[in-house]
Amino acid sequence: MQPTLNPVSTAKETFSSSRSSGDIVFVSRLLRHFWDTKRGEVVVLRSPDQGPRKRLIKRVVALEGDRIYNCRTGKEVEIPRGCCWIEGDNRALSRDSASHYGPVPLGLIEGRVIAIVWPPGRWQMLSAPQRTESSVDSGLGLESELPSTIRALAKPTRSK
Amino acid sequence: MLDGTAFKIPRFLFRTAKSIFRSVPELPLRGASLLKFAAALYMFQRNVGELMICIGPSMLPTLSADGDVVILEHLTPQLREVERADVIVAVSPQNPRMSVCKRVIALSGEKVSVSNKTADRIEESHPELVRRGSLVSFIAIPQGHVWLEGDNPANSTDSRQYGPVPVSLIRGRVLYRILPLENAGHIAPPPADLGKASSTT
Repeated sequence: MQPTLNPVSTAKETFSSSRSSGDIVFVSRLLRHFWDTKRGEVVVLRSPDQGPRKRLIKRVVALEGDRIYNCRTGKEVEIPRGCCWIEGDNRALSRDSASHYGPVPLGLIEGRVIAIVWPPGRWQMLSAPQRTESSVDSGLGLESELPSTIRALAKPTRSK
Repeated sequence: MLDGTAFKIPRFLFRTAKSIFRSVPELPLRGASLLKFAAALYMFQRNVGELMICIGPSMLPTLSADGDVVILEHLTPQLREVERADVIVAVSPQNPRMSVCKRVIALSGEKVSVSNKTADRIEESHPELVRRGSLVSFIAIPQGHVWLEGDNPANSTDSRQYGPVPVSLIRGRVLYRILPLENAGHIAPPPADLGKASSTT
């Protein structure tokens, strides 16, 4: 989820066991009972293919009924009923809907990430990037409306 | 006319009021224990087991259509994998606010045979899973998924509509039926043998 979460750690650190630099986030389990999941929210969900113990943090990119262009496979996908499309902000290194899972059921979502709590210097609320409904429908995906830093990382070139 | 005794507070009422006033300082304590009990009950319901009403025709004849009360246990999906032929309750893949009660037909790594019509439907969303045959097609269940079907295939919305279901959506395994009383006991094995699923390993 770089650069939104763990912006300083390099890719190498992310995959090694050093977790000292990890951000601690506040997750609300309650909100999902009262408000529907919206596009752009960062959510915690149970892994679709590695059993219920493994958790993922991803951004919801599209919801049921949307058509989205998968930049990995180059195909347009329609999200089926009760499902959503999740992607990490660091697309090149993320194991997400685009690279592995495809559309995932909304029932896997456990909660919504509200704020970064630790480290104190990065204390902030996580709000969805300003996006319009049409950006998903037009097949442009996320790139047009994300902050420029994320957009730079989201280009499908692989970082070594 | 007024007799003084008529306005006297009856002794027992007086005593009750006195005991209520005396227990006022204990009230927060009682509230705390009630809260503790509620929290313990909630944790038990979430992690160990709960009672559930299963309504709908999709599990006929194993569970009746007008509502059976069953015991659902949450330990099995947490501690070990579910097994073939288990009756489970899962969050519906089509609506996160609903739960479905189905039978596990095949586990990850196995193949399940489906009609060509079903294969067409699943090919739209998961083209890589479908293996075409001449008469029937096969669906390979990917890692971390199971294939769920109702015991009443004529009237059941299950994996044949929405494809393989992630194990993470499974909430618990149905252990016993407790109501109606005449049918109480273990859940019956599947009506037909589970010859559909074949291990490929």
